[in-house]
Amino acid sequence: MKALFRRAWDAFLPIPNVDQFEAFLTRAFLAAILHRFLPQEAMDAVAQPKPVGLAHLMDLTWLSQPQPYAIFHFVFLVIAFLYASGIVLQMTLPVLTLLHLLPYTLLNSQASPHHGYQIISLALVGMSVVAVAQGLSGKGQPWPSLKHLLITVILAVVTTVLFDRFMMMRGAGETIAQWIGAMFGAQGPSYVFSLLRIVVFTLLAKALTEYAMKDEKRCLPSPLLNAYLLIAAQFMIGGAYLVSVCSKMQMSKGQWLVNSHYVALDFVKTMRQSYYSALDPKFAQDPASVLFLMSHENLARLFFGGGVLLETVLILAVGTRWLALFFGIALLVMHSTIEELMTLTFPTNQYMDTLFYINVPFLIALAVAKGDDRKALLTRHSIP
Amino acid sequence: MVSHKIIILVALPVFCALSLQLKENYPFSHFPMYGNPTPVSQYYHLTDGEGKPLPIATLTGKTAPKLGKMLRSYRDERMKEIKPKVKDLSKEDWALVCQKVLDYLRQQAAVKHMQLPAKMKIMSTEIRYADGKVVETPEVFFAEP
Repeated sequence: MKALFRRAWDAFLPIPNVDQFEAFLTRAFLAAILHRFLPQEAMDAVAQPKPVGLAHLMDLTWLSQPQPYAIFHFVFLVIAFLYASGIVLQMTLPVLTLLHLLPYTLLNSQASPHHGYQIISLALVGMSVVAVAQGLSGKGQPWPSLKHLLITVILAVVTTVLFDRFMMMRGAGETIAQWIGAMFGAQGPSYVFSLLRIVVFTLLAKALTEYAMKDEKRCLPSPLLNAYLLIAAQFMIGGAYLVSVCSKMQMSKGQWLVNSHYVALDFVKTMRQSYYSALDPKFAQDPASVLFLMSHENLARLFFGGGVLLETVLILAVGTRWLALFFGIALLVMHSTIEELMTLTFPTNQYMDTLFYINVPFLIALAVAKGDDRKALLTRHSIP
Repeated sequence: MVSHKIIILVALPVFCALSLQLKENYPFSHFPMYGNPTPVSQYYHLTDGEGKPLPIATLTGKTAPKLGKMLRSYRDERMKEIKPKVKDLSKEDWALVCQKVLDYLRQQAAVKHMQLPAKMKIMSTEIRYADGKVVETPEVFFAEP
């Protein structure tokens, strides 16, 4: 019995082997996700009627002014680039986290909390805590040489300037935007430019990572720090899902599962609210699937109960590879089903689940690795 | 050195308790969506003075679910201010809360260079599932004088 417990404990919360390529892909993809969801223009919140979080300490309404927001957006991209290049994560991660918190804190200070972005911010907070704690303990990432630091910062600034200013000033960007707009519709230029920026940022960050790997003075994060950062992100995401389970149990006084078939009624409510938001006739109908669930209570309980069970046990996959992949796919199926049933989307959750649970960087690294590198990726870190 | 497993096992309940306690304090949240499924639910929407529905998101950037969240949020704020012994606000206090929400929406509409009607109503609709169909009972929750 004791031996069985020991084996279970050993298998629990393993530390994965995360090589530099996987770690780089994770950083690049996360930077791309941050860029994808960061508002491209100034926020439309001119007041913070019910401040939350950092808004208790400062007035964030400057983010609704075009000029200050343009500067904020520029700084955010520079820091995101520095993070993707892997340089001094004990500095870049907390700064990036703080910058990420600002617009969404303002958004959530409008007396109507939005639950779309917490999952990203929480993952960033978790990773920042790990990077700083490791830095303070003396086992973190050493500082690179001044030369490497300067090269990286200058490259980040120049790249961002090129894309945000130069192309537009020359008029070239506008001309290209018109062509793309003609081909792909009004949103086309915005998407294509975002994609271009992500591709160029990624290639440059990759070049910097390769360059840094050639000399110890350029100091990339250690494999152990990379593993801890992955664990921290998975922990915060899994923790957020678990909080929602605790909240369900608390609010329903433990009756959530018994009453879960009534969630289908909330789906109808969501449809009505979607209709009254923009008077869009496509939301005027009751979906047959929802009516079916309401008339089949036990099936509905099984369906919703399965989702809650997944949210509860997700935390067990922290640090694992294949279990995390399995749970990640299950989460995507859950979110897609909810999206189909009630037109309620969770894009940030889906992106973060794909990055940190399905763990696309790991799958890519595994696909391209050969021989011992491939074996190493599939083993645990030697730290017990 | 403390094992990462111990740290995670301690951090998890702390994180959950903290999130439940802080409720909505970005980036923390207690994620209350669909937290208490009941046989009766309620939603709000906005109309002009004549009762014609207004596309709230198009006009203000705030969606219909946010209207309900704002009403609850301002209600809680008002409850804290007056500390009533009863569980809900008086009709007069609700009127204050609703007016505050509508004023805020007008401010947001101005940001989007839109204009809301001079007089608006907040409609409340009770929604329930009975006899195999969805039954809805709308009523005027607040009408601007």
